[in-house]
Amino acid sequence: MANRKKNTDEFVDMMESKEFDEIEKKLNYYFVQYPDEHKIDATIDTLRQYVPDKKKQSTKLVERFWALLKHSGREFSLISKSYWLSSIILFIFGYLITNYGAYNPLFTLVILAPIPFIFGLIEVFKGREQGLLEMEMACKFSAHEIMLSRMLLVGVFNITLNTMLTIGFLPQVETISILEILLVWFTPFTIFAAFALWLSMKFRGAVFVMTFLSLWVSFSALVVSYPAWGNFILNMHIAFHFLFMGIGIIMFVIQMKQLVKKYYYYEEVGNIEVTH
Amino acid sequence: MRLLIDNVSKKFKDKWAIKYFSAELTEGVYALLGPNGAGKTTLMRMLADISMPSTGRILLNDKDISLMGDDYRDILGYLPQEFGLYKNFTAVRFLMYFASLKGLDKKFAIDKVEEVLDLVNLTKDRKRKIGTFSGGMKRRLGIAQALLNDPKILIVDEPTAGLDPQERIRFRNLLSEIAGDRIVFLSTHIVSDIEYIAKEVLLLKQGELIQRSTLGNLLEQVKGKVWSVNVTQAVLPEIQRQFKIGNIQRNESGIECRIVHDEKPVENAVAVHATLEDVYLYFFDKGAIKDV
Ligand SMILES: Nc1ncnc2c1ncn2[C@@H]1O[C@H](COP(=O)(O)OP(=O)(O)OP(=O)(O)O)[C@@H](O)[C@H]1O
Ligand SMILES: [Mg+2]
Repeated sequence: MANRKKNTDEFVDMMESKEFDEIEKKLNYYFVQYPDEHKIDATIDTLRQYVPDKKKQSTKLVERFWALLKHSGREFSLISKSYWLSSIILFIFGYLITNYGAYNPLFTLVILAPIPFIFGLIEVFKGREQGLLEMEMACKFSAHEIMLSRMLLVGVFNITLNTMLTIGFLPQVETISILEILLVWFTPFTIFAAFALWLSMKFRGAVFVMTFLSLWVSFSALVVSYPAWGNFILNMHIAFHFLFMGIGIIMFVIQMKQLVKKYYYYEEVGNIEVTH
Repeated sequence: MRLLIDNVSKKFKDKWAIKYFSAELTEGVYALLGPNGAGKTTLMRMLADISMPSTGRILLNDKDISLMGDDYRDILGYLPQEFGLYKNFTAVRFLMYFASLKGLDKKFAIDKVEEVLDLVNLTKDRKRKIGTFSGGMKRRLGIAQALLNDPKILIVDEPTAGLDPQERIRFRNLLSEIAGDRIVFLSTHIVSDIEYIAKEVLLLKQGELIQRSTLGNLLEQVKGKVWSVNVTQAVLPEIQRQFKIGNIQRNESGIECRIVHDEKPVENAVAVHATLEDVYLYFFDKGAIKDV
C-alpha cells in the first residue's frame, strides 16, 4: 500500500500542471453517460430472480408432491411385472414355510420385511443403470422425481405385503399386541432400507445387490441360528423400539434428501454409474 | 428469444473443461465444432441445465435457467452424446413414457409420438422392441425423444454419430425446417453436417471459444491459404512434419497433398478453393472427418 502511494506521488511530481490541463481537456471529450431509467430497471429485474421467494417455494412443494403422486401411477407400468410377482411369491412362501415348519413367525417377518424394498431399489434406479439418466434429467419430471415416485410405489407395496403377512400370522402370536409385532419388523426395516438406499447410491445395481444380499444372509443366519440374538430384537423394551425406529426413519429421510441432491445435477452422479 | 451465455466456465478438479465462454444466441442453428475433449459435451450439459457452471450464468430472456426449473425444461429438448434406452420397450411405448415425463397430456401425446416417429423415419419400426434396433435407429429414437415437447431450445450432442448418409441428410433437413423459431445448438465433428444449415459456427478449442462466425466468414479467413502440391514419397514425411496436411491422394504423377498454410508452402504449390474441412484443419491442426 505504502509503496503504491509513493508511486503515485512520484507520478504526480513528474507531471507538470500544464500536462494535467491537457489531459483534462482530452477527457472532456469523453462522456460517461448516466444509464437511463429503462436500463436500471432492466438490471434490477434481472437481479430480482435471485431473491428467494419463500411463499412461492412452499406452494410449489405441495404442487410437486401431488405431481409425484400422480406420476407414480404412470411409473407403475415401468416397474417390471416380475418384480411384483416374485415379491408376492416370496411372501406367500414365507408364510407357508413358517406355518408348516412351526418357526417363530416374528423371525420370518423380521427377515422378509425389507426384501421387496431392496429389490425394488433396482427398479428405482433402472434409468441410471440403463443410461437414461441424462435424458431424464432434462425432462420436466426429472430423474430424482422419477426415483422418488418409484420408491413411493415400492415402499407402499412393501408395507402392504408386510402388513398382510402380519395379519396372517396374528392367530399364532396372540401373546403380544399388534403394535409390538409391527414394531418388531418396522424398526429393522427402516434401518436396513436407509442402509440399502445409501449403498445403492454408491454402487451400480449388480454390485449393490450382491453386497446387500450377502449382508442380509449373514443377518438372517444370525437371527435364525442364534435365537438369543433374535430374541433380543423381539424382547427389546418398547421404548428402545421407538428409539431405534426414530433413528431408522431419520437415517432414511437423510438418504432421501441425499438422493434428491445427488440426482439433481449430473456431476454429482459420479462416473461409475453412467456406463451403459 | 435470447439465450445469453455469460462467462461460463466448468472446472473439474484443476482442469478447465470450459473457460470463460460467452455467447449470445437467437433463433437459428448454431454449430459447435471442436476436436475430442474440447469441452463440447460439458458446455451442452450446462446449457441443458443438468450441470452447474463453475463460473458465470446462462440467461434465457434475462432469466437464469438454473432458477427457471420446470419453465426451462418445458421448452428444452436435449439429446445426450451417449445414452441408453429401455430395451424391452417398443419405440412407441418409450416415447409415450417420455412424453409423460415431459408433462404432455396423454391424448396429445399419442398424436405427437406418431409425428416425431415420422420425423425420424421410424414409423414402420414403431412396434418393435428397442433392444432389436441398430445403433443409428437408437440415435434417431433419441432425437425423437428430444423433439416430443416441441422444444424452443434444442440441444443435440453429436446427433448424427452413427447415422448413415441418407439419414444424416434427413436430419439436416429436419433441423433447418424447424430452426425458424427455435434455438438449435448442435455439436459435431462432421463438417458437412453443418455446411448448409448453420447460422453460425462456434469453434471450441481446449474449452475456449476461439472463433464465432458465419460459415462464409470462416471460409473467407482461410481463403488463399489452402494449397495443393504434388510431391514424391521421399519428401512426404518432411512435408507432413512442417505443415498442416489435409487429404493425401496418390495419383500417376506422385502424391497430391492438400496443405493449409498462411503462405505458399513450397515452390510448385497451387492455391485451391477452401472448404469447411480446411477451416477445421486451419483452426484445429487435426483433420476433420470427411463424409457424405
Ligand atoms: N466428469 C468429469 N471429470 C473430470 N473431467 C472431465 C469430466 N467430464 C469431462 N471432463 C474433461 O473435460 C474435457 C472436455 O470433455 P468433453 O466431454 O466436454 O469434450 P467433448 O468436446 O465433448 O469431446 P468429444 O468430442 O470426445 O465428445 C475433457 O478433457 C474431459 O476429460
Ligand atoms: Mg462430447
